[in-house]
Amino acid sequence: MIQVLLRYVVLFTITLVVLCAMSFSLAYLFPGDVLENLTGISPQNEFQRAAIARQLGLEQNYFVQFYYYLERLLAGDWGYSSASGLPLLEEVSVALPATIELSTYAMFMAIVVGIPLGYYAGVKCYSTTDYTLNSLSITTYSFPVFWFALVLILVFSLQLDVAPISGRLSLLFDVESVTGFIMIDILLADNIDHGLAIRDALSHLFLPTVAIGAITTAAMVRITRRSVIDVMQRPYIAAARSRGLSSWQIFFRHVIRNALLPILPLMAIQITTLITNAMIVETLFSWPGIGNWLLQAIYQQDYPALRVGMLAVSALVVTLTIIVDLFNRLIDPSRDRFERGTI
Amino acid sequence: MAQFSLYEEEFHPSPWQRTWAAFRSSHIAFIGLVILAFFVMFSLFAPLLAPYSPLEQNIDGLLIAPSWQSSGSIVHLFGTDALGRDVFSRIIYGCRITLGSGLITVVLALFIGVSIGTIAGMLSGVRSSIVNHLLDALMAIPTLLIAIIIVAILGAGLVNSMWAITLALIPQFVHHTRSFVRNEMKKQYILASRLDGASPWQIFTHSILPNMSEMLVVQGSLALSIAVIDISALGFLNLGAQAPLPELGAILADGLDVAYMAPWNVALPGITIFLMVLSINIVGDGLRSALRKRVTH
Amino acid sequence: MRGKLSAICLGLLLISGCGRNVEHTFYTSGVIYCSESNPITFNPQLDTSTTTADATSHQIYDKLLVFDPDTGQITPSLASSWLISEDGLTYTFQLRKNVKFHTTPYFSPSRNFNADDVIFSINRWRLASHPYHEVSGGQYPYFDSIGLADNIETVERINGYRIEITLKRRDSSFLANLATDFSVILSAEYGDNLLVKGVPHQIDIKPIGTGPYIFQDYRKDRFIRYERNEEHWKQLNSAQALVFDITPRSSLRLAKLITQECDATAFPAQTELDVIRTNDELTLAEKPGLNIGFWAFNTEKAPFNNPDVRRALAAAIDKNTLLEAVYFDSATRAKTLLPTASWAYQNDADDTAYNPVLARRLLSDAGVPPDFSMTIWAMPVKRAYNPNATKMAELIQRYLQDVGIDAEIVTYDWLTFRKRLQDGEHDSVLIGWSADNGDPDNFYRPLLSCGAIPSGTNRAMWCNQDYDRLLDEAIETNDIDERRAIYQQVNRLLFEQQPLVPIAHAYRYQAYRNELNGMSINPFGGVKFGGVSKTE
Repeated sequence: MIQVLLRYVVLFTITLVVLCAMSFSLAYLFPGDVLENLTGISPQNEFQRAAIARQLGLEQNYFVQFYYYLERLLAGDWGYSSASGLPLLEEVSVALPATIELSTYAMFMAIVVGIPLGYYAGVKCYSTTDYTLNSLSITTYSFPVFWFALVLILVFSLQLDVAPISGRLSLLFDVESVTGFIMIDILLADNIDHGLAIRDALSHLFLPTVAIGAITTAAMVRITRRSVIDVMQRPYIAAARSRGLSSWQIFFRHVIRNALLPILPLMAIQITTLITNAMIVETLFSWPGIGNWLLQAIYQQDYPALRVGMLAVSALVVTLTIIVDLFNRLIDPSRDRFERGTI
Repeated sequence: MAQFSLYEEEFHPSPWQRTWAAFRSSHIAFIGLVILAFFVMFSLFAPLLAPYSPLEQNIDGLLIAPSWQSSGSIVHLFGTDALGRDVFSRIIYGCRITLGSGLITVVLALFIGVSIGTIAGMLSGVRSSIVNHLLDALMAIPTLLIAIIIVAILGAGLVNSMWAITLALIPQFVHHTRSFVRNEMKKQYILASRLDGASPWQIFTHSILPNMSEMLVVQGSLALSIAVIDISALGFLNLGAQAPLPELGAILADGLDVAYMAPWNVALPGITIFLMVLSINIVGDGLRSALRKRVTH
Repeated sequence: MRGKLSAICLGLLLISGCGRNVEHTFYTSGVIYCSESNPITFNPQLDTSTTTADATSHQIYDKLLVFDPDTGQITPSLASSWLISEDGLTYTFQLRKNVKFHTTPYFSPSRNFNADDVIFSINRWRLASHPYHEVSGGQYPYFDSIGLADNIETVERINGYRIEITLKRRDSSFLANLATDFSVILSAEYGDNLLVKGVPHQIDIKPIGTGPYIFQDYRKDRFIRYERNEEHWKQLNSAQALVFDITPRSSLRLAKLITQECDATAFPAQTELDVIRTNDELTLAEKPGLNIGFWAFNTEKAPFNNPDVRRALAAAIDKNTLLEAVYFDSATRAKTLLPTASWAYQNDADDTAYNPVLARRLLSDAGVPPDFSMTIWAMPVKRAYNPNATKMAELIQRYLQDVGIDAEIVTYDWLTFRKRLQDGEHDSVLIGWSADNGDPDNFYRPLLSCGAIPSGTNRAMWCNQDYDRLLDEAIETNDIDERRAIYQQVNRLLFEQQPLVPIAHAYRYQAYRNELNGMSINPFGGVKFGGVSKTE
């Protein structure tokens, strides 16, 4: 147990260092000046440049530079955005929670809707309901997310006018970003009508959450269904049936838990897809998240921002994946290594 | 039976024939295959099928409605866009670019991924779980992020976005190949051929690869649907194919500017991408269940 | 199907309780404007772009004088009256009393607006020795481009509420220049404060003015937030809050207008005008605009330094097609820099004609190789004068192909684009100009005079002594007919030299929701929200 934890900690640290090294090497790979890519400051004169270069250790070898880079990252000195001039740590700490928040709701939707439907389809496998659910899920799964989001906007905003299109709160609410999570920020703000603001935030959440969540939900249905079918074919189910257990008893005693185990690692893969989709959808709904921010950075050729953004997003995704993996490992010790099944 | 048969001549269909039979028995999968075949045909014969050049601008015919609307004309089946280009021709060429570049990406990723995976799987010395885990961790980095980085380094463009997607697809091929090869290596028939004195290369080409091909086809179909979605997403975000190249995602993004006046400029490329991905997914799904059926029966 | 969908949706909404309740009085207390881009600074003295002017000049600041939006006449603002001496060189301004600067968390004024503030504001761009001159780059593009600083002899304080400005030469466009979006009045006290604190650049980031709205917060790519200035000298019935929602995509701006997320939007696309016109909840205001969209050649680069090459390129394109395809006929064809709305408009000016044969001949005579390639820079933002530069570039690209030139379209994000343009990296560029005042000098001088090259408004990088001399002559006289005659000579010179191809003068549009009161198009420069409010 401790050994497992230790291994994951080591693994996690190594992965993070590798990611940091990649982000560091980006400063050299990106076009433009290495010094500016690392700091986001364009020196006014040679004197200033020399001073900054010394501070970064630019005159020494790459390893020393990387060491300094790690030191600065840990100290919270991530450099400045060359487009806005603001500290990148601050920008990321505003944008990242917005993405996490959106993804969490979408994941929540996928789990709450997707898993029960998947169970249902799996138990009733090869029935009409199953076929309907299965074709519905494969259809939803095939939607390109940007197009799906546009269709949602067209139907729910422009035709029915039930949900707004952009942002996460009407701009008339002056809510200060404390945690970066809009729901918490609303509760923390003291100068607004909380009920009204929460309703407004929920209506803003509706479309982007559905746009991202639907595709992950479809994937969850398929994953769960497959897993349930696999479990149902196991000998112990046949044994239970021959013991005279009703199908409901079998389902509750044997299927639910056993089918859940293989789902977890597959959920980890879905996290990546989910965050990719979230990043695309953010641009369509002007959601002030990290995807929107990174795309703005690339359009504005803000290399320091890209360097840091890459690190932040990949670290987030890797952390989540490793946590799910570890969790999976802890509840299912029979598994000696990380396996991935098919959808 | 009219004919007398001395020996029992049983017909033994090859594994592929059995898979095909199972696949064909599912109507949905078959329809998916037909749609996919249509798209492949569009891609292959785009210059013959497209009534106009996808880049040809026609100043006199801006934003003509598609033929089924009362204001449309049959001359332009799907209408024209804001520069008077024929939408039907652009979509046909779009299929070619999107599906074609998707295929190239998948083949490339498959080739590289299988090579690395096989080496990792066959070299029993490399049993480092750290490398394995690291691969998994890197696999988790979103394609969009890789694409953004590559575009920042090399600049926007279809080819660069293809590189990005290839990079993103490689790890899963490595992963599957590696675990597959490792499992097979433990089996008796490999041991047999090894005892026969087969070299690792011979083992791979004669024993493992034929068994692996089905897994690769299934993984490939999965990867293709991801590749098509990603290529069009990058085109849509203006990181992939650049104007005036008719890539489906880029056509859709172009159409957004005239979405109110000419909604078909957004609707049609979107539906095309959707149908393309759907048909790939259905075929992939059909293949998988056909394989499963074959194995279980 | 739709009924079913809405039923499902309603069900969902009831569960989550997330129905929209935009009728709530909270939503009518503030006005949201969907703007198209980020302002570069919060001091319009430093930048000539419409985006910056929109976000600042009429909202945060006041000027000495303003144009009446209906008549175009110069009317009093912070200067309650003025006097011009006999020789036309000395201007005396009487200033308004009891005008308060904004009180914000970062500054509380201890005194009212007076002559010191006017002197501070003018001297900032006028005198290189002024402590604030070099702050934020030391470039004052509008004033630099018209050479106003060189023409002002002195700016003197007569008493607390009276100042006197003496010019070196007569300048018939002087008052108009003081009424432009760029001639805003800053607070001298705030300036001194910041100087003491050692953070002078804050003056352009956290602005203090006397205008109808007080700046609160700005987040790049997201929003600018203002609140009503309760103590504004002109008791305007303005909204409690004003928010600029930065939305670069015009289709999204329109969508937000329809879903009531915006109350007004900047630059509706030409293709969307009909949608707005047919929507009962929206109003589309239109006026012929004082603007010009053009295609400028970088005359510092070979072969574009050769007038023949420029003429050839001008003859290679068909302007009427561009008008139709890009402006959807909501613009008039430009012959010269001046739009029809200007008093100096010349009806019989020479105009280039579409003639690819001539173009090809001129090009080969000039020794341009047949496989010559060039870049066309297309500005990334929508402007009235060019609603879709990329599309125009694609059309021009095709025309150039016909005369054997391989054109490549280049575009960047707006800030980068302007920076690189300023560095002269382009071969040619599609851009334009919106007038800041109705004076013809406001077109000719910033766009093509020598002085406008370093200030970054002369995109052709074209410098011609004859041209500058003619422009100077024109503003030294007050006789309209004489000036008109000079501008005709200027037009002829420009036609011969063709440093840029004038393409179109677009109409100006403003789309807003019917609930908005007091909204009107300001033909001179930026949008104006003082006095705009929402019906409850």
